[in-house]
Amino acid sequence: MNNLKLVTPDFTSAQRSQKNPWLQDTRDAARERLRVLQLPTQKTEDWKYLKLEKLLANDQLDAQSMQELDSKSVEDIDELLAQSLISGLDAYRLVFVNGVFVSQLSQHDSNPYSVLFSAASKAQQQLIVDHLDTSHNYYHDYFSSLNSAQLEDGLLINIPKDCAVDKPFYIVNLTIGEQPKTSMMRLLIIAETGSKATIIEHEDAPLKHTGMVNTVIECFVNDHAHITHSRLQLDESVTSICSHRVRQSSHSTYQQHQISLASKLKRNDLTVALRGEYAHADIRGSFYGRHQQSIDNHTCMEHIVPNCTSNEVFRGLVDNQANAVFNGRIHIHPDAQKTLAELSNKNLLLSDFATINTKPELEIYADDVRCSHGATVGQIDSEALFYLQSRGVPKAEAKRLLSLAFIAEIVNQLTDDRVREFVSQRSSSLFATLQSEGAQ
Amino acid sequence: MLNIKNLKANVDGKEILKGLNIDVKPGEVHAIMGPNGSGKSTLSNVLAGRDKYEATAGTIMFEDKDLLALEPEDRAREGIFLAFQYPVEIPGVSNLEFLKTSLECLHAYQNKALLSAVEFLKLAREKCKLVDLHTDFLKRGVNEGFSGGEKKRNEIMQMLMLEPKLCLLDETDSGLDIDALNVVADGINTLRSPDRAFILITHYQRLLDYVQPDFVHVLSDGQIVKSGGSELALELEKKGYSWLESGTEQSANPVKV
Repeated sequence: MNNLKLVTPDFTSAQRSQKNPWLQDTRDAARERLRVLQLPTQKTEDWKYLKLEKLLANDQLDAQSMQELDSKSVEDIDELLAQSLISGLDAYRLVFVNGVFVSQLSQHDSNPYSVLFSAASKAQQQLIVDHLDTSHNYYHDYFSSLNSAQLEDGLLINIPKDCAVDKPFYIVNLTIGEQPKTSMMRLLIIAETGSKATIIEHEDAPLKHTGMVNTVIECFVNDHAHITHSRLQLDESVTSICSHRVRQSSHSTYQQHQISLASKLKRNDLTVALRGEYAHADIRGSFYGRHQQSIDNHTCMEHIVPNCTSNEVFRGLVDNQANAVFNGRIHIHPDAQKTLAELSNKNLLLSDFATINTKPELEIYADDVRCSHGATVGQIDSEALFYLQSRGVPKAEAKRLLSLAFIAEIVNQLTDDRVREFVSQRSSSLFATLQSEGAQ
Repeated sequence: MLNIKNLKANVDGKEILKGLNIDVKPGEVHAIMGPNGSGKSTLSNVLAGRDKYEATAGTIMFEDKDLLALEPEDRAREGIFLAFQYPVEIPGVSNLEFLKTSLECLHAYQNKALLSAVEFLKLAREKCKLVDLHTDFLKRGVNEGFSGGEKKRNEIMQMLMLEPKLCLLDETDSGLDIDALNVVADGINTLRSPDRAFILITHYQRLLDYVQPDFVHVLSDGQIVKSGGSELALELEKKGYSWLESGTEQSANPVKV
């Protein structure tokens, strides 16, 4: 392992950016945590199915200081966007390139709800500092501490009380550049009491450039607030580690649809803490891995108070020699009586060499709850395959249709027609290669 | 059109068809009857090209093509249609999507002009009506949650859409009530034409009251043991199959027309 080029950041250096000094306390606290935390190994239960050190061998965990794009690059990227973004979507569009906000590519003129940390007012700065790193216990979390330790900027979405935002936020992060880039994304969502908003995140690498993104999302859904959050992770060439923590207050709903393509390494950690009664979380995800890719989804539903409900459905498709992990945990705390929690993970292995490790977990400390969890791993139904073939559909096309059908339950739940259409088309063209890949 | 000579076939290593001969010409309707385990479904599955069914000897020629050398999808594209005994449910693929893909695959192979979306939808609705299925079925998953009768009607609906040259119906009539049986029979009769042939595999005479066959064959222990006209079916209905098994009244040659 000595020849691995794994670079871990050194925070003792005085060269460190002091940008936005009001964030210094957050950075310092994270740096303090990193004195103890180390890169997880396979001995860490949560990471045991990934050979992390090997997978990250060519990545740099330290974010490079990002430079503004010149106008030529902006023009080039603008052309790319026309082909790679969801077309016809009426939204507040916020485009980041390698983690840096690019105003020229964004469309957010009349958007009073979101602001970059670097442009935040005094009051907003206070709001940010009060919320950052509070959604979760980050003392065990190496990668999000790394993100906080290098925090220079981020995006705040703050929906005012009782406000229903007129159109979705469309947050795009593109990885572009001949030289691999390491970027940090930071998103803070605060939905005030009674507010309502839709957020669509889209990660892509239209030129298949490589890089690494370390993302931290914190989402506070206050009383009676409703957030619909779609996450499209379509950057197959990018190593991505994402820590996503949601904190819900009473009568709030949080709905997530996650569509993920695996990459060399893609890891999502999602925790939803139901902290107010009658809160509801609905989490749906699908993932697809091929070649030698890895994808790892870890989710945890923390039922802390009584009368909350959560429903989680994940569907996985794994082809070639890809490796997928799903670990879904439902944790019912002693006070959380009358909880209703469901979790299901179904997987299809499309090749003899693909692997999936799935582990649904229930941890219940209350006695009056209804919980169910289940996981399955299977192959494409040969009867269905033959049925399609007997109607003149070639095997490859039949496999494509059946794969699409397998994730349809997730894709069809995407609430916006244009997003759904976009995802269907991307998946459809992606699965067209199933047969040729499988034949290898 | 279809010429089967001395066909032997195994399922899981066990010989089920033991030298079967049959000759089907365009425009003809053949009924194949026989007791349970005689090899009726094996025959239809071998013809459609299902994996586990392995032909070990003999030939199947379909319009001068060696059928056994073709993949299932290519057999369909050549014009063979199998109405399944147990139609498969495919949640997540809508009937409409399924039919459209299928029709496009066939038309592309047969160098026919592809239908526009509007034309296709019109055609699909029309055929739905013919088999008495509500057009809402088109939006649902393939056979998903369909009753037994609805599944069989859906098979006929697909047959009407795809207009095959040779239609194989594998016990399509079993488990149907009178209304559904009428629908199935009407579907077949609608499609009857001088250049299209049918093979009806059935246990009972019932379907043959509605669709009169040109030939009736009795399959027993993997061979055709008797062939005749439609009156043979009536005789079987009266006497059962047992009288055939005692005698070795085997027709050595395929039926000549």
